Amino acid sequence: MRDANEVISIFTDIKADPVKYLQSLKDVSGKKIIGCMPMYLPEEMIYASGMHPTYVPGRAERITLGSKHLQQFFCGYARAVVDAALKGDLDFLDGMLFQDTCHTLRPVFDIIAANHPYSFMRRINMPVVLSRPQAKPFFTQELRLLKRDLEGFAGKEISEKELKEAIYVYNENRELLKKIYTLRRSRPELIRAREMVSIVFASMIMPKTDHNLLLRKLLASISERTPPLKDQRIRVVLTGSLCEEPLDYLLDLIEELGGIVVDDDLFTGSRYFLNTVPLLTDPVESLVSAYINMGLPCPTRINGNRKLGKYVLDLARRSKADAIIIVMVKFCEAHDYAYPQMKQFFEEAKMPHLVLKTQHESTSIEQIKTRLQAFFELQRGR
Amino acid sequence: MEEKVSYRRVKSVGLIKDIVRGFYEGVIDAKRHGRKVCWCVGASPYEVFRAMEIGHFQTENWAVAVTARGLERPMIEEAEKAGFSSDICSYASINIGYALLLKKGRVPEDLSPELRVPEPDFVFTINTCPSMAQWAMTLSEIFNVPFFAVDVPLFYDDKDELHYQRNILYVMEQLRDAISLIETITRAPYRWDRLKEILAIIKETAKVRQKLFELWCHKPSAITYWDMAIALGAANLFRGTEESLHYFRKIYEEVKERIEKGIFSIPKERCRLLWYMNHPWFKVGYLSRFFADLDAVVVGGQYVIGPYSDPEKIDPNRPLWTIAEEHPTRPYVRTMRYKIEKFLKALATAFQVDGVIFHSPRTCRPNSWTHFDEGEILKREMGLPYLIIEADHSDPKFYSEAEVDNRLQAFVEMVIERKEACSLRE
Repeated sequence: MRDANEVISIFTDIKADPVKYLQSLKDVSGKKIIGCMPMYLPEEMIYASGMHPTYVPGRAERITLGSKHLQQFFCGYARAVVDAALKGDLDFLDGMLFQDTCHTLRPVFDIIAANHPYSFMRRINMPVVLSRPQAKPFFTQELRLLKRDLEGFAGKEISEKELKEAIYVYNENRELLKKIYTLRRSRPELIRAREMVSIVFASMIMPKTDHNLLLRKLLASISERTPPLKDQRIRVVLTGSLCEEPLDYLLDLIEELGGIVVDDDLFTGSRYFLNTVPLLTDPVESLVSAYINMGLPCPTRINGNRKLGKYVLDLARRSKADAIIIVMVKFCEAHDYAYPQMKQFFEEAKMPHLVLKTQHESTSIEQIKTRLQAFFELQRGR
Repeated sequence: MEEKVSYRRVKSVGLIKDIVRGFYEGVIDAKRHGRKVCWCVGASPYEVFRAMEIGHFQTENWAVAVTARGLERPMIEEAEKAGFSSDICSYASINIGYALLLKKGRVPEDLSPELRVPEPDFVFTINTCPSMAQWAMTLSEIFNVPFFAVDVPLFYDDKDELHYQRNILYVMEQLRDAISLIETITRAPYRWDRLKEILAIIKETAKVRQKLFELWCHKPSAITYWDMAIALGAANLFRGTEESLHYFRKIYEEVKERIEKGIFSIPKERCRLLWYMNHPWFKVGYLSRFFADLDAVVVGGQYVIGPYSDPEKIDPNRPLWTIAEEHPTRPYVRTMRYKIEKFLKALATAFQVDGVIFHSPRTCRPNSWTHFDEGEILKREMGLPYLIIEADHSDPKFYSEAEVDNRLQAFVEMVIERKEACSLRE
């Protein structure tokens, strides 16, 4: 049906050129735009202030300036964001917000602030050990101070009602995305992997109300769509790529070589929307609670006994996957630490898995292709 | 023919060898005598464990001792076999590799007896480097023991005193929980009096180190960065003992005497350099001679100053506050501007240097980040030339001798030329 394809093409266009979209959004709406660095930032608060929160895209073709400020052994995303900011490519941003995610992104703030500062530059600390009793009061204070500063920059107070409404709109988006994912689990042939990444990616860029509207349209029409894929392939779950979208050609290769993605645990995937914000009396506490009690295990956080390997394995079993593909970005140390245990979980559970390491400048397509081919051959023979 | 002596090491610095051996033997003894053992990932409040006679050591310090003896390879390989990328911190690779081998009963035979540290009863970390929590968690999973991670937040606002206080309180409250855990593990009430005594020794030592710092800045140099690198353990892991106090007194006396007698670190000091962030531990002796042969002296650097350097900040009667306040002295949790002011400009001035060498270790982001910007800002604001080299703190495979040495030599020659041309003009 036409609607589904139309909606999907809006999303893929945004993913292809998020800067163009954001620039025109700014021109049309006149809103201040705040770039949110990965991850766990309370976008709802920015939305409630009347400003527009967006993910900071980092897919520069060639990193030149970025590598003059960060060594090659910093991940591609960190270098690409520095590169884009310093070249002025992100000048549509009025501000940037950072959560202290990992030690690769920590210096990005300092470098941008020293060389190409935006009017509003702010960091927040999200506790690393979420299960510690001190984590919650500490983070609550961090978010209250952030709210104060956002209000200052927006030039308006954020009322309780506005923040609650924002949480409502965001949760609605989460629910709609969950529905699409549920549909994909049963009919994966309906949506290509690169399309699904675009759908979530667009949610990170667009105003949520607009995205919700399009998602509803998509949900109403997608079942009628002529499936772009055949459903007789190896069912794959993707995990990894913690701060940026996986490369399109990698996703295409999976399909081309006989795989079909049925679910994911990607940053530009289910990790973005699975963490629903509870509706409490105090909306700031709602946000705090969502992050401190989050069910998603994350390699950058200590979250009780929640283990990424077990989580992904459960996800794969739920979606009746035949195999797990781990997309690892070179020099993502948090992921590097998490991997051996994931591998152990998968091996013990006899769950076939494959690691594909990608590097911003020099991912070897041929090598990935050969490895995927061999991996799928093996699965077919099982 | 008499061999040319280019580098005159401070002799008493070498006494550290016995301290190191005795210290690690103490860890092995603790286990043998039924006391608990804690592996500390990263710079930790060792005094907290010392007060309870818990056998403890810092995994990084231990990894340095392993690398200094050239024994790191089988451990790094073991970690890689388990799936740990060679891009993770090389200290961690060595330590995790050892943990895996220890668990399998396959500790390499050539590993020195004192470095065969026993399995931990628990693991502790303060994550001034964000990877430490993951490293500590990995160890706790290998040994199936509890681990405690104190979360140190980023001090992102240098001007807001409330932000600073809030962060310190956050750390302090977590330390209090750590003490409760120690009481549970040791089944004994915490010995606060002993902790205060240890902090008093640390304070006394800090006073000696402060006096030593003045001599350290002497021009020409009578004690160098490399001497202080060797002594670092006594300020860090072995602190709070009478031995460490005695050790720094000996160094102080020797350096004082050297200055009085006109004995300096290198025969001809044509330029003085600052070293920024950590260094290749496996090259300390080599680099001290390398620079001496070029008539250059690497005088100082923040990394080898070590913790608890300011006696005024140590209050034995407020132990947890003192310990919590030690952590924001680490560059990893501070802003770039703060580091430039406190660790670069202040030290470049104190040591009267002519240039700065930044070392970017390949497997350590926190010791590498913002070097390019810091270098440029330093050049702009202080007129100092700088050089950035890439190597590693603990994995020799990332030290390309031909490349690094060539660049160091060219830099030193440029600095000397520049300096001598300037003094001619004057």
